[in-house]
Amino acid sequence: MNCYSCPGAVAACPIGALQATIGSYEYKFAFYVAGFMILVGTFMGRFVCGWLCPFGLIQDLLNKIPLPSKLKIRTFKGDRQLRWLKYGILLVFVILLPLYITDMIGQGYPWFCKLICPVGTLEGGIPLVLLNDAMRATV
Amino acid sequence: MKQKNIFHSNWVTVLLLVIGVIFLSLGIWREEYAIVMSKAINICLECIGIG
Repeated sequence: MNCYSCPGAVAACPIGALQATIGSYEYKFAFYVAGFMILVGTFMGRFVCGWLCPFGLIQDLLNKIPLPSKLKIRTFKGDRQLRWLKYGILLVFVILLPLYITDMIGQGYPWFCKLICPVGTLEGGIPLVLLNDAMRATV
Repeated sequence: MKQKNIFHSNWVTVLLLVIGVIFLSLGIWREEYAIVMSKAINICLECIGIG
């Protein structure tokens, strides 16, 4: 499971797949992706978050970097209210923007991938630019 | 002892499973998987922060 926009991904990121289907000019609702996510979520819960998604691993490794206890933050004011932000981002960037902001032929862009998600840049963009001369020239 | 009906107590899970299967079948029938696969194999420079 990896960034959706990479030929090296064995299985597509479901958020990218959702945006691609919703943003296509043929379909306005992603039955295939939604059904797949409902089934996986019903059977496995958050197993995918912890055991399949590489970004969970990256965050866990970052958490293991030793810091002085004064700098470690357990919680902060507004934490509970900010938890609703992810639903707003899902609604706006993953569903509404690809659905309603389209190009000439009626195709939407994957706005979450382009503007918010760091996975593609971290796992695809940076390694490609470092290892590929042609890619480096475009930056 | 009366055996508890597992579907009665887990009706939300069963309902979600049914909805998931229906959605997946509809998606396969509409050939949405073709869009998912074709987009997944094409690199999107904007999405990886290069373009």
